[in-house]
Amino acid sequence: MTITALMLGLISGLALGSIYLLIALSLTLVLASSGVFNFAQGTVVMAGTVLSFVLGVRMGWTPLATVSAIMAIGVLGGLLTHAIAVWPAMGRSKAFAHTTVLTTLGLGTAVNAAVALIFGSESWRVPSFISDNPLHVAGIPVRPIYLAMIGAGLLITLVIDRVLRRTAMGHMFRSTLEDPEGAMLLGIDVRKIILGSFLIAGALSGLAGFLIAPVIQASAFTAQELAFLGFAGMAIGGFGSFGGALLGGMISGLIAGLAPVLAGPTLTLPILFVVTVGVLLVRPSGLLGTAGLFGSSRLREI
Amino acid sequence: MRIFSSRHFGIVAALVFIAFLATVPLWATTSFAMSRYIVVLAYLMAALGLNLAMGYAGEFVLGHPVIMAAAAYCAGLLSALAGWPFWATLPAGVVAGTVVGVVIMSPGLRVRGWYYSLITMFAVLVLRPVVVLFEDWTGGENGLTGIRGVVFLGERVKPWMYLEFALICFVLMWLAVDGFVRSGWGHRMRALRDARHAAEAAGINLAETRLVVYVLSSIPAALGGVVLAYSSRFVGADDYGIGLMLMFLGGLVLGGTGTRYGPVVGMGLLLILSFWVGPFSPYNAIGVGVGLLVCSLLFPDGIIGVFAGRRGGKAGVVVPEHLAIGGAPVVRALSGGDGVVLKARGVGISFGGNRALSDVSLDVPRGAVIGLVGPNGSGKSTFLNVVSGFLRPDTGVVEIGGVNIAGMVPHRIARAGVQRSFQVPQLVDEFTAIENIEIGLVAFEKRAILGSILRAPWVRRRERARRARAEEVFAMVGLPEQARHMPVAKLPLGLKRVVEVGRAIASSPHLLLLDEPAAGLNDEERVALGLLLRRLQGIGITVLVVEHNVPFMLRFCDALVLLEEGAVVCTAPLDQPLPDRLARYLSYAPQTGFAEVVA
Repeated sequence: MTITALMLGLISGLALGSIYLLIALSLTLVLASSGVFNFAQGTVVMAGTVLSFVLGVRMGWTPLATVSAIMAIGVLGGLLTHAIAVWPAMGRSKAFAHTTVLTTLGLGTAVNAAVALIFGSESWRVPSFISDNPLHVAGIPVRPIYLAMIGAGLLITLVIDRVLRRTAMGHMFRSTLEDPEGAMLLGIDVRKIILGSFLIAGALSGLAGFLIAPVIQASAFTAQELAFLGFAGMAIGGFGSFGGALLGGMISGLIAGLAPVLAGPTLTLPILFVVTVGVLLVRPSGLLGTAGLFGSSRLREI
Repeated sequence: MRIFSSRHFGIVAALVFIAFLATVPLWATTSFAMSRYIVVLAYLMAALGLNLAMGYAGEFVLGHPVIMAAAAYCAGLLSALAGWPFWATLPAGVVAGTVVGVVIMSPGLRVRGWYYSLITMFAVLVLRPVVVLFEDWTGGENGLTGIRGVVFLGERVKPWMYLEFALICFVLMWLAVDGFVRSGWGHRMRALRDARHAAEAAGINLAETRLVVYVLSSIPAALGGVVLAYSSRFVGADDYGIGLMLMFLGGLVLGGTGTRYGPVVGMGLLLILSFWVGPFSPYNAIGVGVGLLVCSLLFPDGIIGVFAGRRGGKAGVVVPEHLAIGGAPVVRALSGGDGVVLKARGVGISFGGNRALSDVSLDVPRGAVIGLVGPNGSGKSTFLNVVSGFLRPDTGVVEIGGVNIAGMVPHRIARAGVQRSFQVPQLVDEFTAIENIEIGLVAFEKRAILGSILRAPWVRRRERARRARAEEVFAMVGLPEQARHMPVAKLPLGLKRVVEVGRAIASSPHLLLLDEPAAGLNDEERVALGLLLRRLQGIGITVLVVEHNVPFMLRFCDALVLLEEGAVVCTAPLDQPLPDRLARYLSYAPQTGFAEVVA
């Protein structure tokens, strides 16, 4: 194994990490505001890859038009998930988390299968929306798409960080994410914030699908794996924590980038699995998560 | 629809179903047709295992396809590579599947909720890469071939015989799961699922219960895996993926989790769909997905729940003020302690920088009803949590009958004779009052796992004895007759508290800890509860009660202990004039105005 191979693995890891953190961020947004683990999130990412192919390749749309359409459809996906799988379960405080795991899983499963029915079961290569000629950085050939992924990941992170910290809407969002009941007492319309988190998460997931499509191909059968890569990122970083989602998404990306170089491509998922379980066993709330959040505390219910 | 709730209807339907499967060879002419029914039986076995863990024990595990695959690969490899005969690979495969099952479920001992289900689901996703990794043995993506046929008495077993064998396996697994669920382990599992703190406080070892559930939930799935491997004489990782997991989950939710017939009904519907559209059609997944979505929203109890209805009975029963006196239970002798049941010395505990208890020292004499009072945040509930083991004190000694229990886990303390109730009653909603009271007794019985599965005569005798004791307690705490056959979910709050007290005293503990038992009760219910406490004193159960209601405490306690800022201020018997500090606190206590009402 050469230094070049290692550097290539590192760069592809950073690129994948930038996408995984978008997925982890989408999951975290929804989870922290509403307590829902949205299994259908992977479906939106998958739809992003499939639409990249259908719109961008088959119908020849420009990359800008394609990504706009995909993000709009992602927002629609978030809206539909909320309307079909989450809103009807509201008001069942005791079984809400349990019920929504099942409903979002059911919705995701049905939509994945419907996409497979319409789109077919083949996987299609999606050419990069920018040049595929490798750039030589210090003698290492780098696919430009990787740089675009890293750039997009950084940009989104900065924008979200800015919005959350500096704007009034951001403050309302953060109060809700940190303490929904307290936010409700402050007069924040928590239901609107929850709906908003579903819409934003949908847009982010769609974008993640568009960005990752040239790397993983467009297929109707990637939804669950993508959801799990995001879940691994969220679990490693810390449930419900933004910093955690960023950190964990990057860690799982680096594992996905470096494991093929260091250990072989088939070992990527097993290593990620072992790391995830290991982190959760040592710290059930993840690296940056708060203990006691989402019912992991022991005495909370007494 | 009443016919559906009859026990006999279920049994008759199950027998018809089994008879249908037994007669498949009469009309299914090709061996392919028969192999599809063997697949059905293997899946049903796995669903039974999943139902045990998820439905009854509330452990939201989703790794059962991996268990099937592990068992199938193990048995298949031993047959194809080592040439072992079927009678040897079958147990080996079941053991391998069970070991893998316990390993992938074991994070549940520490990680809770659906993070846990995600981990086990992740294991399903990891199966394929692992199989590819060991492709020299497993055949990787091409699958494992070369499994020898089953030979019995020197002759090659025909497909119809193998189908009957699979059917026998399924029926045995169904009976085993059913027997286990009906035993005391059924109580333990449901308590683990619905009231896990109460289970610990009743002396049930949660970790042990979980491990037993993990093992027993794996065995049917593992058996299903071996049956499947020998039916197709092929094992491929793709057959044990997320799709199969979703089918199990969907089938269970569709039929009704934690019910006897739910997994068979739900899986049955999905399998009929799969027969209709073909096993590889995307319509299967659409059916599973829509089924999951619709059922979890509209029929949380599944199809079985819709048809069976709830166990009967009317809500709104009132507690009679004067409780009927029942037979007194035998009080177990407390050897040490010199007449002091609970002796605390210098108990302190901090949360972060917050010193919840700084120095609590008190004696609770045998047979007394002692009240613990003090302002909010003075550490009353914290002290109860320390005594019952839910919190580990940083300093100090807590002795029960002369034995230091500080730092012991709750279920050990419970078995040492300390029982408690909770601010919010922790009961198994679907159980009747009697069954909930029995939860307080099962921890004191021998494990008898195999005896429970087989429903051995001595286990049934034990069950009858437990039931009789629970009936005795039911009468003793004065629960109204109408509450006997009704799920406790339908009882009013006051009665739920009485049921909790019943569960706590069923094992004749030395010490009963009550955490705000009168909160939310009306005057009549409060008096009934107080009279019950006095009667416990009559049979030698010592009571330590935390309560804000001053008239209640003044009327029913022997002595009050005032706690302020984590330390005991004074201890005062109520037959003497109250010390100033206590009198001042009580007169400032908000409920003083109600004194006239109750007195």
